[in-house]
Amino acid sequence: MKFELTAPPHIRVPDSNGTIMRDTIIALIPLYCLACFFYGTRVLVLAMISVLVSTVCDITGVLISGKKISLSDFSPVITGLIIPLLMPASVSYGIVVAADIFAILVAKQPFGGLGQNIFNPAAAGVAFATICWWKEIFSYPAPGIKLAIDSVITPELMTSPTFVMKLNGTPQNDYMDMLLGNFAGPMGATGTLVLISCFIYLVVRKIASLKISGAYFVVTILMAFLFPRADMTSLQSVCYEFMSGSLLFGAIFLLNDPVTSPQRDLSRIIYGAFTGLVVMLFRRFGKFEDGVVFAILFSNSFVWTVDMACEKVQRKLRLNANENK
Amino acid sequence: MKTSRVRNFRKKTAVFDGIFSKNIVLTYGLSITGIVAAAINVRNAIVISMAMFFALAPILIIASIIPKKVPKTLGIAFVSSLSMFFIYLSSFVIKNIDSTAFESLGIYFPLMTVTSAGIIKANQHLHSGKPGFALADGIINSLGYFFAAFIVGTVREIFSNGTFMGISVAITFKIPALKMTFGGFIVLAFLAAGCRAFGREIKRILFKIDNKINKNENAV
Amino acid sequence: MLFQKGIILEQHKEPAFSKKICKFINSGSEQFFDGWEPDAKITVENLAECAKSAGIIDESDGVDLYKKILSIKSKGYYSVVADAIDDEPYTSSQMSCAYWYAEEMTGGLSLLDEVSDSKRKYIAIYGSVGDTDIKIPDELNGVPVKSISGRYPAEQRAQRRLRYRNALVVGSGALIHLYRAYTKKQKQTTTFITVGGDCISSPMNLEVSLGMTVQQVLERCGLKYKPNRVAVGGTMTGVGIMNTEENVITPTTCSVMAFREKYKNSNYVCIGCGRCTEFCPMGLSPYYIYKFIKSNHLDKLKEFDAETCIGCGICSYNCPAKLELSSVIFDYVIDRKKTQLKENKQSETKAEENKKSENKKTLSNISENSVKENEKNKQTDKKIKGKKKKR
Repeated sequence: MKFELTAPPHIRVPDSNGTIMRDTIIALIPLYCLACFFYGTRVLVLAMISVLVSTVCDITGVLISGKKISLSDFSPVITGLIIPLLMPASVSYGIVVAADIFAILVAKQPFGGLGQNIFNPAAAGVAFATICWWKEIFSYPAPGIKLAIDSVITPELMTSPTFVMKLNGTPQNDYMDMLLGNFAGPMGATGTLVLISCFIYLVVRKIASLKISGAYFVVTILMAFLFPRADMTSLQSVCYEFMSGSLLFGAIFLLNDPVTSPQRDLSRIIYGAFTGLVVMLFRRFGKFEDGVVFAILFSNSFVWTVDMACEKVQRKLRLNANENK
Repeated sequence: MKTSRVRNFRKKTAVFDGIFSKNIVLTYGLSITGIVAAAINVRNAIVISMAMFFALAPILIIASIIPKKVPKTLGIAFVSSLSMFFIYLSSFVIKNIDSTAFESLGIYFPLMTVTSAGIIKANQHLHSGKPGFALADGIINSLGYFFAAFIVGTVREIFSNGTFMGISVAITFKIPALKMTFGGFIVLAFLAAGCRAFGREIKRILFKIDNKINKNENAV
Repeated sequence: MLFQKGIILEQHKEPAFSKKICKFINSGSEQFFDGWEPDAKITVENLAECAKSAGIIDESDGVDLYKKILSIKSKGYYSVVADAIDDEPYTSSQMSCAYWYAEEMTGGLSLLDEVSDSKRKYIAIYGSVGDTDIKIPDELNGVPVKSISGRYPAEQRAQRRLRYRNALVVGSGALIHLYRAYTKKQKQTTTFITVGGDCISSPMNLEVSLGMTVQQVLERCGLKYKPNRVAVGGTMTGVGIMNTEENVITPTTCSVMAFREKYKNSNYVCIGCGRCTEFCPMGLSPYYIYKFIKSNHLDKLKEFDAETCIGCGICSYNCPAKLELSSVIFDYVIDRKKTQLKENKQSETKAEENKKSENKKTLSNISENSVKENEKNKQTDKKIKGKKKKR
C-alpha cells in the first residue's frame, strides 16, 4: 500500500475552524429569537440582507487578492450577524449594507483577509455607521410594537438609558425589565439574562476566554462603583452602566474574537482591563452616549505591543525555570 | 522571457509617467493633505490643484538654474521657501476665478507652500541646468495631482452631498462620512490601489502575448 | 499536577493491553552466540560483553545497551529503573511486556541492580490510564511499581527527571532481551510492538522478528477499513510511512498504527485562537514561531527560544486549522542544530589555522614593515617636490 507523506502527530482534536464559528453562530441565535419576539420579523430580514452582503463582499475581496475561496469557515456570516444586533431594530437597510461593506472591504480584506486583520470588522462597521448616521443609530423603538418590514417606521422612537446618563440623569427603568430586555436599546444588547447564558455556553465550549471578559467586567464594575456619573448610589450606577448599551455584548462577542485578541494569558488580562478602562472613559468624556465599539478598535491597535512585551516577560520566567532545574 | 513589448510600451508612455505610474500622490504618497482634507467637492479640487501648480512649477525652474556652488541643503531650503512668494501671487489670480471655493478652503490653500512634493522634486532638478525639462516636469506632475484630486473630489461630492459642481444628481442614499478627513483617506487609498492594479494589468496583458504563464505562478 | 502544562489524551489502550502478547516470528529465526558462561561471576565488563554479543538495542532511545552498561563505571547511579511508560494513545508495548513477561523483565533488572551500586530498583509505569481492564499491581515479581501520572508528554518529563536524579533508565523490552541473553545465550532477533488504530480489526501487542515488513504485520492483525495513513513509532511523535512493503520493523519501532482520517480537506487559515500557546509544555509560543518561519523572518526568532522545542506535537494536535505546526518548527530546530554543529567545526578548524598562520606572520612582519615604510617615505617626497613645482 502506498501513501502520501504525512507529518506527526497522527491524531488530532475533532475541533476545527468550522466548529468554532458554528458554535458562535449557535450562541447568536437566542439573541435573534428575543429580538424577533420584541420587534417582529423585520429583524430577520435585516439579518438575511446583512449576511448576504457580507458574504458577497468577502468573496469579492478574496478573489481580488488572488486567494482561494473557502466557504467552510463562516467568518463573514458571523460579521453579518453581529452588525445588526448592535443597531436599533428601526434602522434602515441602507445603513446596515453600508456598515457591512465598510467592515469587510475596508477593515478586513485590505489588511490581509481572515487571520491577518488588526481591527475587529464588526466593530469597525458599527463605528462607521455611528459616525455617519448617529441620530438613527441612537433612537430606538419601544419593545413590544411589531415593526413593518418596509422602510417606513411609524412608531415613535425613544432614547435609551445611556442617553439619560450622558445628560447626568438617573434612568428610571425597572431592574426586572432590564434583565429581561424590555427596554429601549440595541437589538441584541438588551436581553441581559440571555446574553449571560450565551456567555456561559461560549466559556464551556472554550471559545470565549474568562481572562479577557473577566478582566473587562472587573474594571468596568470597579469604575462604575467608585465613580458614579450622576446622583446615583454606587449599586444603582453599577446596574445601570452594566445593563444598558452594548457593554455586555461587546465583552462577549467582540472582545473574544480570536483573530484580534492576544495570545498569552497575561496579555489577555491586560487587554481586557485596558478596554474596560477606555470604555468607561469614552462613556464619561466622549461625544457619543455609548462608545464601546470605538474603545474596542482603540485597544485592538495595541495588541501587538502588549503581546511582544509579555513574550519578553515569559522568556524571563522560562529562563529562570530552566536554571532552577 | 521576452519583455520587448512591455519595454516599448514603457518607453512610449514615459512622458505621461507623472500622471499615471509615477503620480506624486498615488504612487509616492506626497502632499496628501490637499486631497484628503481640502478636496471635498469638485470646485475645491480644481482650486487646490491650481495651487499645487503655482507652488511646484516655478520652484522647479529656479532649482534647475541655481549655480553649482550653492550646496545642496541650502539650495533646497531656499527654493522650497520661495514657493510662498508664488502662492501669494497666485492667490490674487484664483480669487478672481472662484472666490467661494477659495474662501471655503481656508487654511489649506496657503498650506500648499509646505508640500513634501516640492522638496523632493526640487531635489531631483537641483543643479540640472535644464529649465525646460523642469517646467515640463512641473506641468505633468501638477496634472497628475489634478487627476487624483478631481476623482477624489467627484466621489466625495456625489456620495456625500448628492451634487456635482453644485448641480444635484439623483442619489438616494448619502454617506456623510466621506466629507470627513477619514473618508478622504479611504477614498484616496482605494484610488491608489486601483491605479496600481490597472497599470499592472496592462503590462501583464502585454507580457502574456509573448510568454506563457502557468496558473500557479504570479509572474509580473 | 494542577500547574503542569500539557494535555490529557484519551488513551485507547484496550483491547491491546489486556490480551497476552502473541508471537509473530519467522520459524527458525532464533540465534545464539558463544563465548559466555552463565555461571561466571557477573561484572560490568562481562555483562556489557554479553549485551554486545547479543546486539541488544534499547527501544526507548535507540542506544546500544552495552554502552549504557559500560557507563555504570563512570557514573555512580543511585537507582535502576525499568521504563514502562507509554503515554501516547493506542501504544502499550512497553507496559504490556513489563506486565506479561514480568519474570524475565525483573530478572534483567536484578542483573543490572547487582552490577551497579544502586540503592533502589523499580518499574515506572504510566498511571493515568483509566480504561484498562487489568488493574496495574503495586509490585511485579517482588519489584516495586511506581506509577507515573501526569499529562502528556509525561514520558519525556519523567525521563528528564530521572536522569536529573541520577537513575539508569532502560526500556523493559531491552531488559527482557538481556535476561534471555544472560540465561540462554540468545541474540536479540525480535522486538515488542503494538498494532492499533481505528482501521485494525483486532488491535494487539506482538513480539515480531526484526526485518518483517509493515504490510505483513498489518495483515496479521487484519484491516477493517482501508487506511489513509500508516504511522510507525508512536501516534504523536512517530513517522508516517509511504510504502508498507518497503518499511521493515526495527528495534525502535514500538508501534504500528493505521488511521482512517485525512486531515487536508480544506483551506483553513490560522485564526489566532491561541490554543497552541496555551498548551505548550515548554512555555513557547508556536503561533509566532510558525509565523516567522513561514514568512522567513528568521532573525526575529532569537527571542522566542525555538531551540528548546521537544517536538511533542501538542500544538498541532490542538490546532483547529489543522496546521503542521510541530513538524515545521521541529524540522527548523533540527536544521539549526546541524548548521550550528557545522559552523562550530568550521570555526574550530579556522581558529587552528589562524594560530598557525599568526606564528608565521610574526617572523615575516618585521621585514614587510620596513619595506612599507620605505615606500611611504618615497611618496611623501614626491608630493613635496610636486607642490614646489606648482608654486
